[in-house]
Amino acid sequence: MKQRWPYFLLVLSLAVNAGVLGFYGVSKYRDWRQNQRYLSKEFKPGTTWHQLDRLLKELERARAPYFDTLRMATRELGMLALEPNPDSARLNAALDQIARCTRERFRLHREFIRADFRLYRPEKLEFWRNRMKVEYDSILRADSGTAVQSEEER
Amino acid sequence: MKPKWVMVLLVVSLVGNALELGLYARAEWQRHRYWQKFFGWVQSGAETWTMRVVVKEFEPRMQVLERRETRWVEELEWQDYQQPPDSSIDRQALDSVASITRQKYELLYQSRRALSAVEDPKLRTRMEKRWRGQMGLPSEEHPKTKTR
Repeated sequence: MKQRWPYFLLVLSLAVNAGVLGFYGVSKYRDWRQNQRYLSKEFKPGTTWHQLDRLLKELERARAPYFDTLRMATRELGMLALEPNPDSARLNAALDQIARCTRERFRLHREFIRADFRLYRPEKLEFWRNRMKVEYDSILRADSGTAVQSEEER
Repeated sequence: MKPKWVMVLLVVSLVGNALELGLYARAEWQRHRYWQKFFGWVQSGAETWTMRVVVKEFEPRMQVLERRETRWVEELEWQDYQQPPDSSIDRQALDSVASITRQKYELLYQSRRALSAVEDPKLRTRMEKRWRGQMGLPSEEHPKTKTR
């Protein structure tokens, strides 16, 4: 009886190890397979995750300073709003900085999306373009007021 | 198998168990930190989609600005699909988005200046708290609150 407990504990511990490693291995394999399927379905042959990651990292690196400035300008604006007599020059400077950072942030994001699209399969890009067209048209319709008009006609 | 080897294997296996447990705890902690950071970022109001005005009177104006912004963002997205994208529309859309954001922040600023007009003290406190979160300022009740 004395000699049995190490064996029992060993079997239990090894079983836990095997279970954990098996679970980890299977989930990693599933993730990898899913990613490969997605990659081959959406992107041109030869595209790798490394390429996509690099694009995303470049975007993050490029826009990080703008995010920092935006945050600082927002705080500055917040501080100014709490002051009894805020300086209008500082207020305008903070607002200008916010506008400039937003513009740059959007520009960089668009550049990233366009670089990403160059890696897409043409037929997939066409599919997403058609989906986008529906959304775009509905926004334009709502914007021009035709949607409201047709509601009134009903 | 000799008992000595059983003990060695047992120790190695138990160390493995402890390591697995440690890695699991670390992953959970990292996930928790990630979401904390994310919510902090959302609270900071750095992203325009979280931006809302605090005083009711300003909301219709903000909605108009949001609609206009959506229109230009959509225009930019549409240009992504054009081969090649029209650079003049691009420029116009980017300038418009920047200008609208400026107006939105200005409205946020004006809204804070008008906060004293709110009569209900409870509501005023709540709005003040919300506004501070949007502007990335620390909360008054909890000065040590970290905001990104």
